Formats: sequence, structure tokens, C-alpha cells
Amino acid sequence: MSLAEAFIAVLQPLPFWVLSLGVLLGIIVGALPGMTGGMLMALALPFTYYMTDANAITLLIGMYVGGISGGLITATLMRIPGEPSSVMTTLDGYPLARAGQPGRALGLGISASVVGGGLSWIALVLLSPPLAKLGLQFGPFENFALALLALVMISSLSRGSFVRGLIAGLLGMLVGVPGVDESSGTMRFTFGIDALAGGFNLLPVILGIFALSQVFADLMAPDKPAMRVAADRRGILISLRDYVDHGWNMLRSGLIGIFMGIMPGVGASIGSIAAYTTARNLSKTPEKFGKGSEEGIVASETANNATSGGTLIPVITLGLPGGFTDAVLLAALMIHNLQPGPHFFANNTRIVHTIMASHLLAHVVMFAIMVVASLWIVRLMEIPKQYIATMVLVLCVIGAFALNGRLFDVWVMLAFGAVGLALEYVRAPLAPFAIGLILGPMAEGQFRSAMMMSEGSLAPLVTRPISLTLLIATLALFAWPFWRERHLRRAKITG
Amino acid sequence: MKRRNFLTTSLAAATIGGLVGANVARAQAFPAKPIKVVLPVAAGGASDAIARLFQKVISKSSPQPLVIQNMPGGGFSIGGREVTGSPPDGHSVFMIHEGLISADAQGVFTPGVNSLVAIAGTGRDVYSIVVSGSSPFKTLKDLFDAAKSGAPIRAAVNIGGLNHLSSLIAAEPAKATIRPVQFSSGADSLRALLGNQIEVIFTVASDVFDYHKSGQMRVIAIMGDSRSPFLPDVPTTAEAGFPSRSELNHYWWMHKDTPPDRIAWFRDALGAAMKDDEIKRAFAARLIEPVFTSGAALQADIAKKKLVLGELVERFGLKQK
Repeated sequence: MSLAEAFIAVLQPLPFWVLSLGVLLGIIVGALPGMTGGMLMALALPFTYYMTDANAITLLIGMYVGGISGGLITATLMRIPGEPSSVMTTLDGYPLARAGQPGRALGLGISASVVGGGLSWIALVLLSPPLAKLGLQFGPFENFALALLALVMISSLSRGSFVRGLIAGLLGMLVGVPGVDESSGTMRFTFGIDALAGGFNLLPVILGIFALSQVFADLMAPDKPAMRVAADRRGILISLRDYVDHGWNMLRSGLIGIFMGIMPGVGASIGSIAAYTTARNLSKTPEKFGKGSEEGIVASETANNATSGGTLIPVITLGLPGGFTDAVLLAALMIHNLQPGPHFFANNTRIVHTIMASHLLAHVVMFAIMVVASLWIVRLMEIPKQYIATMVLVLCVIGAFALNGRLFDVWVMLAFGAVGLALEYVRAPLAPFAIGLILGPMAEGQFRSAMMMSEGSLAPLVTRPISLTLLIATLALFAWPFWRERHLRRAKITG
Repeated sequence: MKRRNFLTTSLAAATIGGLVGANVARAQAFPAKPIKVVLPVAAGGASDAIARLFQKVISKSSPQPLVIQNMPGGGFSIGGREVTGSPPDGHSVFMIHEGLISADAQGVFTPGVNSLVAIAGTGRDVYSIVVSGSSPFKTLKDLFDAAKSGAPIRAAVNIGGLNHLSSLIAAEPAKATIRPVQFSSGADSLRALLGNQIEVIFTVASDVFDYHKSGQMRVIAIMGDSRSPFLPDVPTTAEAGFPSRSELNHYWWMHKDTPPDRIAWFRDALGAAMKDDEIKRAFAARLIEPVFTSGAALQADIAKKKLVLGELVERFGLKQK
């Protein structure tokens, strides 16, 4: 079956209905705190047994795309990253929405998501084999260098005080330490608490830090008159001019997202971190970042959707999962007696083309649903904060519990809500904390694997070309904000 | 109608499964509610795929559906605790391969394997030794000779996992050293071999069969007593001159205090499912030997594994201090 035929097949009434249902459910769980698209896909697996293989794949791809996109709604309107990949969207989406432009903030995010998805689709269709080959070149040394590159972005994100950003980042890394240490197969820092054997789950911590700290802050200041923001619907459909203005940013962020997507285990969250920081470093108005910058929203949302195509590349070329989402997709294929592996692409063109067609069509459906839903959802901004805060609290508790069915995760989330509040009190930025938490364990694991590979020699870090390139980029990225600040200051003095 | 009923119950159970679990078991027909199958691994892996096959087949005939709950992390402890902490009424099942026994021997499985009882073994995989298609090592002897001459021979393993143990077991008769490098998932280690990051991996035949056929990887020995019917040209480790064996059995467990009649119910459901055409086909496709063990034979197997794996963990210094 050719790609064109696959498109026609997915556009038939039943498959298209299945796709739309998947996208809609994906958007809903993506927006709900604590629920992710991946969890929805795992939950939906048993139902796909009773579908045809093509419909099963169509449903799951719809959920995947919806899930990765829906996160921007709550990230923008309530500062809740529905998915870890939308953490960066909270930084500018929320301030812009609060400043009376929720429609505009959502509109930018939705359009950026579609563009990111479209770009990654092109890569998926045209560039899968070479990109997969590039991905295989990344061993522990390269992955460590990549994680390091992303970690120094903390320095770019720490507006105001570099030291505070660094402290927040290190604290985040510390939270990633307890649990089973994979590199030695032993428990560490669990303090005899059995529930800590698996460490702190990423989602409850992120929910606590971002969403609950805001809830606590809102509820602790009840005397303040409820802030009402007009539900400005203008800007949900952004103009052609906006696409032109943000074109370069979209393209750049899209490419970063695609590249990060093919890196197994790195995925969507690091893609948006990298694209956001790059946009900030290259921006003419970096001071606006974190205060409602349109560029920031566009960069984060383009990149996290662009990872969606990249993540699918290892599946269709190597038959190997690049991440959790891929693993669920492969599980669905296996249930339908489709064997993943090196011949997957050659033996199952019908399914591969269905994956491709569903991926693009899901983005179109997502755009339509999100635009229509936004007309209504922006009205949430008219509800006084206290009511919203209560609702968010309830949703967060349910979300954290639903993650693994453990009450422990709820306590973790509540505790980190207090941590988030404390961090904000001392004016430490939250994004570096999240980045430290996401990247710290990754950097550690890769570094220790690398040391096992080289018997403790650091030399391969600079003798392996990709790793060397990444290290140089890391140094440049680290120095850039300092250099630029000095440069600007000097320009101000002389000018 | 039946299907819709199934959809709603399992969806409800999946979301509020934990809450339901707190109910006190009542004396009534078993199963009285959906049976929760806890997997201590993430969705999408090999164990997950097998569990879901059984979910599909057993749910067809069972009065209550099976609901899969993935609870990864903590050396299987998070998932294990969910089962040992649930009422021993047969509605909570644990599914994990014999890696559980070695995790317990290492002291990472905190609930302890003795808090569970094995119900049945469904299927057996045998480990194989695999190098990259472009590797200079054609035989097991080539590989071990290189290792003994000081060349870095690195294996992508999950430290403390069964593939790590397999690498130690395989190298023992040759007195060679294979250096372990941590790669968390099976897919990660396959990718590492495809990218020539490391020299060798130890994995089950189904993972590498297609790569072997395509020439991207080369299976150089099977760690079993006989050759694999799927790879008739590949020698066993004994034939290659370095006898060693390592296998992977897929086991189902329940809380140790579960009433025998409920254990028997689930054991029989698993046994019946093994005869289902769908499972037979899937096992054949995944190159899993469709052995079913239960009762005294199973308990003897488990007891032996506890001894053997415990001794290996001790000998290789993998025990947690």
C-alpha cells in the first residue's frame, strides 16, 4: 500500500473516527495534570486487541499526538505542565495569558505545535534511514555530552541570579538520586523507606513544583481581590504574518526537536528545553523570556511536537523502541502478530504508511479540535483564582494517584508543592529545578556507562568526534550569556 | 453487550484499581471482581507482551476480566509491594520472569520472594550470545581468546539483571573477563550492538532472530542443552567448547497466603490459555518454548533456581551490602 493509499484508508469514516477519538482523548489527558499520552496509550492497549491492526495503530498515534499537544492548554492557562514536555511552555504561556492575552498565548502554542508536527512528519517520511543511522552513533559518551549540553542551559535560563538558578538545578539533580541505582544494581538514599525504592517519580514532583506551589500561593492570599482576566479570544487563529515572523524560530526549533526525538531516552522534554534556550540566546529581546515572550511559546511548542516524528523513526527503521510511547506501539503491533525488527519497514509497508498517514492527519485533527476548544477553554480565565486553585488541587491529587495507583506519589506531590513555594519565596527559578531533575539522572547514568566502557578513562569524551563537538557546543553555550551580557553592558556604556 | 460491559469494567478498574483493592474479600464465587495483574516493568517490554497475550485469551472465557497494571521500578519492589500489600484473595497476581529470584538474592527485591508463591511457569526462553554482523569474532572461542589476550570485550547488560548473570556464567568456563556496561533496557542493548558501541550482548533468541537473518547481528552460541530449532546452524555453548547454560522462565505469582482453590483457579486458566491457538501462534512467532509448569514440579524448579541463582549472586559479588 502506497502512502497516498494509506491516507485514503485513514480518511475512511471508521478509521477517521478512531483517529479523532484518539486525538480528543489524548488532548484531554494531556491537559489533565498527572495523566500523560503514554499512560493513555497503555490503558487503551487492551481495547486495541479487538480492532484491526491499522485501526489500532491509528488510535494510538492519535492519542500520542493529542497527548503531546494537550499539555499546552493547562501549561498556558494554569501553569500546570500537563506533560513534562510542556514545562518550558509554562514559562511564557502563563505570563502572557495572565497579561490578558490567553487567546493569543494558546493560538501561538497550537500553531507552533502543528508546524512542529508537520516538520517532523517530513523528516519521518523522507529522512528516517539516515536519521536512524545517526542515532546509532550515539553511545554513552555522546549521550552524556548531550545531557551536559542541556544541563548548562540552566545558566541561560537563570534570569536575575545565576547562582540561584544553579542551586535550583542542583537541588533538582539531588531529587533524582534516591532509589535503585541502575549502574550498580543497589538501593541508595531510600532511608529505609520502602516506597522510595523506585525513587521519586518525575510527574508528581513536577506537578508539585509548578502546579501545587501556584495553588498554595493562590490559596494563601485569599484577601487579595480575585484577579479577573478578560477571556480574550482574539488571536486563537494567528495570522499569516505571525507565521512569517516566527518562521525561522519554528524551523530551528522544529529541527532541534526532530534531532532530540531520535535520541532514545532523551525525547520530548529535552527537545523543548534545547529549542527554548536557543531561541532565548538568539533573540533580540531575551529579557522578555519568562515574562510572556511569544518566541518562547513558539520555540517550546514547536519542538515538543517535532519530537513526535523523531521518536517514531527508530520504530519504523530499526524496529526498536526509542521510548515508552514506541514500546506501547510495538506492543500493540505484536498483539496483532506483526513482528518488529530490522525487516519491519520492508515487510510491513502497509503499517508503516498507516503510521505516517495517521501522524500527519492527527496533527490536522488536533489543530481543529484545539482551536474550537480554545474558544471555550479561555473562559477558564474568567473564573476567580480561588475556584481554579481548588479544582487544580483536586485534579493534581487524582493525577498523581492515577500514575501508579500509589498514595505515596500524592504525598510526594504535596511535599514538592511546599518545596516549589519555598523556591519561589527565595526567588529561585523553577525551570532549572525541573531540568536538573530530568537531566541529572540521565547524565549520571550515561556517564557511569561511559566509564564502564572505557575502564574509567575520560579520553573518549574528546577523541570521539560527536562527543567532542557536543562538548565544544556546551562550552560555547555556557559562555554565551556571560559574553553577551558583558557585550551589552559595554555597548551601553560606550553608546 | 458483553464487550461493552468488559470495556467499562476494565476501564473503571484500571483507574480506580487501587481503591477497589482495599475491599475485604467476601466468601463468594471467584473471581468476584476483575483480577489485577501487576507487572513490575513498563508497558511494551517482553514480559508485558506475554502478560497481555494471556490477558486477551483469559478474559475471553473468564467471568471477570484481567486488568494489567504496570508498576516499574525499584528492582521489581514497587510492583511486588502492590501484590504483597493487597488482600490474599486471589484478585492480585504478579507476573515476572526468574529475574525476580536473582533480584531477591541480591537483596534489591525488598518484599522478598518468599512473600510470594509461584503459580505457574508459562514459556521458556534460552539466552544466546550475540555479536555484531561486522564483528571479527566468528565463534565463541574467537571472542574468549580476544578477551584473554586483553582486548576490551564489553557486554551491554543491565547490572544485576539476568543478562549480566548470563555474561558471567558464559565467561566462567573460559576464565575470560567480559566487561559489563550498563544499558537499562533490552532495546538499549540491541541498539548499542547495532551501533558497535560494545562487542557482545546476551539475550533471548527472539530478540535477535531477524537481525541474525539480515546479517546485522550474528548469534555465535546458544546457552542451552540443545540447539534452537530456529537457528539450527548455531552451536550450543557446550558444542563450542565452553559449556554453560542460562534460561529465562516466565512465572506468575500470588501472595503466599492466597487460598489454594483460588491459586488453582488461576493456574488452570493459565494452563487452558497455553492450549489456545492464539498463544501457540504468538509463542512460535516469538521463539518461546511453550512449556507449562505447575504444582510440585514448579516448586522444585523454583527452589532449585533460588539455590543456583543465590549461589551465582554470591560468587560474583552482586549481593547488596
